[in-house]
Amino acid sequence: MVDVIIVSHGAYAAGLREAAEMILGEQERVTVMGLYPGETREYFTDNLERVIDELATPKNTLILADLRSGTPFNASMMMVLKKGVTCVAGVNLTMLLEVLSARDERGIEEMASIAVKAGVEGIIDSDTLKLRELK
Amino acid sequence: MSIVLYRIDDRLVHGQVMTAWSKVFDTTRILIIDDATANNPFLVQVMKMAVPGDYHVDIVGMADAAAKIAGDPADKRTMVLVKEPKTILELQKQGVEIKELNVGNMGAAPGRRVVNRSLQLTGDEYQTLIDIQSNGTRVYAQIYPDGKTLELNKLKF
Repeated sequence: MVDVIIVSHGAYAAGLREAAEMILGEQERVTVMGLYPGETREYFTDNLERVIDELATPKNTLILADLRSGTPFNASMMMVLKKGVTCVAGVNLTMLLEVLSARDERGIEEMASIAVKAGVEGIIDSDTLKLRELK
Repeated sequence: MSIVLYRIDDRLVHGQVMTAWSKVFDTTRILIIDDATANNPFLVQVMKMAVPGDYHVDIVGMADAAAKIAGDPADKRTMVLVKEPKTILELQKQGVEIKELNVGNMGAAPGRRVVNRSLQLTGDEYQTLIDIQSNGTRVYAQIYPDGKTLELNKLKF
């Protein structure tokens, strides 16, 4: 099973996990970390590194970050370079649900593409749906 | 003059900078001046990967900073990011003219006192900001472009 860490600004990561558990039930091996005002990138990165070091196999870890170029993402990319974890930015609930459903059977090497595909497919708008109905 | 914003922000390239400040100032380039960052290949790589493909990030140490600013392309709009006030004071000493300095995030560190949620300063850092101001630069604290502006004279330390 792939370990999942969700990192975000504020409580978004914790809220996402709570939302996912409303749909899939309680999840094991999902860690959430929020960045708050007054915390430095170094502080956040050190905490993230500690969480990863406590996992059985750091390379078997997928980090889902809320925002490309945000501090939680930057810290995660440090861990990609230092610890060999995998990271995807732009996490949404569809992405998280797909990752949690797939991580028992599929390996870490497939997880990034599974996450990105699901994250994009989960986004749909009413204009497009109405157009589809007309055809 | 192609440098449109000087900002102190110890997170360097991050969410507020990329989603808010870079849009308001219409920048396409960031120049980071910080010795420790410039000497850390991991961090250099992370900062460069953090931005979209059409954005440009340069990271230099103090020794190369003034020349880099002087040579910044005139047709581009560049944001300068540093982590500490002393970097700005050093630029001034080297003859770089800075009209305004935006003070953003300075997080918790030993010896720093809380000014507000995002800004913490040591006594030395506060004094350095005063020195920067007495060299003719307007110094103001502001986290978000839409947020409150606090002039250095009004800042309670």
